[in-house]
Amino acid sequence: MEWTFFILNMLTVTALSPLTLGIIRKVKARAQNRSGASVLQPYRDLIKLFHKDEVISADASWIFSAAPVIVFATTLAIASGLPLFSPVPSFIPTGDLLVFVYLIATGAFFLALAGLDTGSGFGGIGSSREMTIAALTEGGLILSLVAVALLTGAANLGIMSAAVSGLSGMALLPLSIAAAAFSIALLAENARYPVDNPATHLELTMVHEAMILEYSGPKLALMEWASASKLLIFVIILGNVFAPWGMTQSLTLPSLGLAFLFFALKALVILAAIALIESGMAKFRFFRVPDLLFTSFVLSVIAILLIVV
Amino acid sequence: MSTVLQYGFVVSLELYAFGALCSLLFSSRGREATASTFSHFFAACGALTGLVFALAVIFSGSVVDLHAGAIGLAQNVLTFHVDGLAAFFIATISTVALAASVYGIAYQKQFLGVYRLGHFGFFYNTFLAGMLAVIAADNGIMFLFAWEAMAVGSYFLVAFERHDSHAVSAGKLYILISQLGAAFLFAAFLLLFRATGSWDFDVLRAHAVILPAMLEHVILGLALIGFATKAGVIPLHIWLPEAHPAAPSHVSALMSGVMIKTAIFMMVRFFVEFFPGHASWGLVILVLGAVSALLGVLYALSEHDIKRLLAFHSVENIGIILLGLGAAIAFFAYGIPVAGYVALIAALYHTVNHALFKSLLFLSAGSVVHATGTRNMEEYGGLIKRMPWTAVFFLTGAVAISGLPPFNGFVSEWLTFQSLFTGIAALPLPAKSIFLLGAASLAFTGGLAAACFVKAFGATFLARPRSDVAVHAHESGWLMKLPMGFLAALTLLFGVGASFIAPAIGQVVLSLRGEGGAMPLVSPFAMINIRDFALLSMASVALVLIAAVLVTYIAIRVISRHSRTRIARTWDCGVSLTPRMEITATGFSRSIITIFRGLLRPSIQKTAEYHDASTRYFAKSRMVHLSMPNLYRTYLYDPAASLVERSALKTRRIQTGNLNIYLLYIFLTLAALLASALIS
Repeated sequence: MEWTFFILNMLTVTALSPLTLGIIRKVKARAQNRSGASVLQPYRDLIKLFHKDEVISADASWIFSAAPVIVFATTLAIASGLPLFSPVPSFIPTGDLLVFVYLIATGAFFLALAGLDTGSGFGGIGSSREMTIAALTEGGLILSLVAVALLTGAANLGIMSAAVSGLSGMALLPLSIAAAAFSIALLAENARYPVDNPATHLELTMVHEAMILEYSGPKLALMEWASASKLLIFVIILGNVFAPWGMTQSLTLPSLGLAFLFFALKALVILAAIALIESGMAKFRFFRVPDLLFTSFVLSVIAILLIVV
Repeated sequence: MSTVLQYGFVVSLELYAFGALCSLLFSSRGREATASTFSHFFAACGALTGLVFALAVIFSGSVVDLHAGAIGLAQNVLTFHVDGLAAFFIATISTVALAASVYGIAYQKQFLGVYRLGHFGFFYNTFLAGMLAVIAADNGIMFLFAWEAMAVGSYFLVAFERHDSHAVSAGKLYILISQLGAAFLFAAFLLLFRATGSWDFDVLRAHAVILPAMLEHVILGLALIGFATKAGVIPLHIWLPEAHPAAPSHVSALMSGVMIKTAIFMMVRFFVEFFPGHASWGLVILVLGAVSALLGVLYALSEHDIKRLLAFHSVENIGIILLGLGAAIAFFAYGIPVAGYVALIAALYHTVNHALFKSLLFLSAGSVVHATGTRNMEEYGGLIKRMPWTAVFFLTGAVAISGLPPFNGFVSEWLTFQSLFTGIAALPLPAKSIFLLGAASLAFTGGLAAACFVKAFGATFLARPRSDVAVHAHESGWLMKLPMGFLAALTLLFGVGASFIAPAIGQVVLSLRGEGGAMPLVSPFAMINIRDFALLSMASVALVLIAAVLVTYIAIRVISRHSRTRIARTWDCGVSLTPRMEITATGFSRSIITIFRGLLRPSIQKTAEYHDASTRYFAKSRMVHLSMPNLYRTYLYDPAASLVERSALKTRRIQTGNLNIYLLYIFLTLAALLASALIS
């Protein structure tokens, strides 16, 4: 039972993640009065990249080759513990909130090392910025999840999700504040506006793109896919842990289908919000990003204080 | 088993003593190579014996008391007491000492004929024996004696490179601050002796004498300052980043990895065993831990000397240990012992973890310094191709210290987090907010440590060499790689095997509080359960992670089997890339330092020289000086020093050189003493 759950989760998250990128790009295009590419375009890009030859820098070491695999594997491991359609009332080892946060950090760690490995100035500056942002996001990311954990009395994402849906109305205030804090962490961790511009190739503004600049072919595909999976993981947590309504307790096919529909709706709202933020506001100057990240941290502290006092 | 328990400790001490004597015996200039090999070999034997002994004590759950017969003043001084806690620390010290000693055999050869290796071997063994005696001492006099032996022994190791003025002045600062801290300990122990009438720790352990509350707080305050100085808690840390890097690398590993832990050990003794029940001291230690952790990692980020960077991470990790320890003290005082056990397990787990990965990092950094002859990270680069094994070992240490699963740093940080969460949920409001502060500090510390080690590993091992010394670097010999591999394997084992280690440490903690029994055997997949709030199964996490890596690797090999790989240059925008175009260690952390400039106060100084001084358009050369001021020196130590100096100058006035005046002083003193004797 547990193993099918693991594998089902990994497959679903990995299979659907390129679609999230497609949806964001589509909504963004519409918001900017363009028709945009099909939502399936990211899949075509991945297929194309997987079959291309690749160019590796002569300066690169095994870190450069290992990093895409490790980064992608961390997203798989995290995905295995997520509450996807049904809140999991039992304990899943990879669903612990600190395991989640530190697996994300593991991915960032190796991504940043890969950025440094080729000795390109772009990669270096990208890694430096990525680790700066990741370090400052960690406070808000951990504490916003801890707020929910304290609210529900459990630190496992699945159990938290099951417990949140049973909470009283009083809990909504701290929950929504924590959700706001988590949303900021979501934008920062996934290289989205106003922290990073996912579409840029301008030296001055790149963060994530700068790190993977030297990648090509299958390894680039893995990196792109991993970052798409990471986005979907954050969307799932925001949708199913902070607002787990519409999830099913029974594991029959029709109710799972209904639960998936609910999840798809929530995910669409979140993705559309990300796309609208990206169309509606300018990217922050790098040294204004910390203000935003500290806001996330302070919001989650407020949420925790509301819960425990 | 009983033989090991009976003689293990003494044999270990004797082997150190033998190593020290052997080393002195061969200390003449011609035979120094023999001296060095012998001293390190016997130290390794002593460490191995100590390790076996300590493990026997832990796993049999017994307590070993040793009383050596002695006469006169030494009576009742040579007493040792090794319980679970002491055995735990002896095991930690011996493991690191074993690795460091084997490493030292090869590492010290570079100093042959330059510095006196025979003398080094003597002090090296003294230092190791001193640490062992500190842990096992069962009375105040023995403890203070061993404490000083440890300090003096390590002073000579720090100042070993005596032609290097930095090392000598670092040694001076170290011994000065160390003695200052010891002065507080002497005061604390003298007060204890006056109040209890005995130097024996047994009296304290039995809680036989109830001290006045005020006196107890004074003693605890003095002890805290004394131990915090040795542990390198901010603001008493200023000796640490000077002294640890100055010593040879395997000594740095010992100092950073285990010597500063002896202070943690004594803190556990004082605040948990001897004088439990002070929530306020727990909270003070928690705040100290939060500050040390966060500031320690920020200072580490601003370093580009690889060993100083590691030394600052010791400050950070001592902070993390203190978060667990402070939480434990508070929980015991508030009457939630179950949470206290978890917090103490977290503190002890992080103690051994830090000992493992920090010594691993120092040894691999030592290999790099050995190969390049410089500690400046800006002159490294690209070493992963020249020193592939060292790179793997350093990366293991870096991943572990950054708290990334499945390595050991993650487990203890996880446990520390859980203790802090428990405090946030269960304690009264003022304590809650301090626990929240601790959790916030730990959250940011983890991320910043990861950033710092991306920088350290990236600048040292990745990209292209930035200097000639890096181009000509070579891999270390197997005698240096072997201990590093041993420690690297242990860091992984202590992460994946958390379900074994945590209950074992739990046993130590329980026996400390007078509870416990036989050690429960657990399966590797058993979960560490924190009040049903959080559960952790590291073996499962590791298994999922490994499976995910394998699946990804195989899948990509299958999918992209037709795509070919071409080696080319890094994209260079049309100009040829030079090593100067890579990001440097300083540049990497510059943005974090700018963000925290309010705390760190970095200074920047720019100078430029122009071809034509009147137009100032074309610069011939530009210099940018970045520096981090030592705020503690400027605002704490220098004012204190000048205060002492000024008061000394004032006191000098009574020294006139006139004999009659001195006679008057003697007379007045005598009169005052007689008067006070008459009155009382």
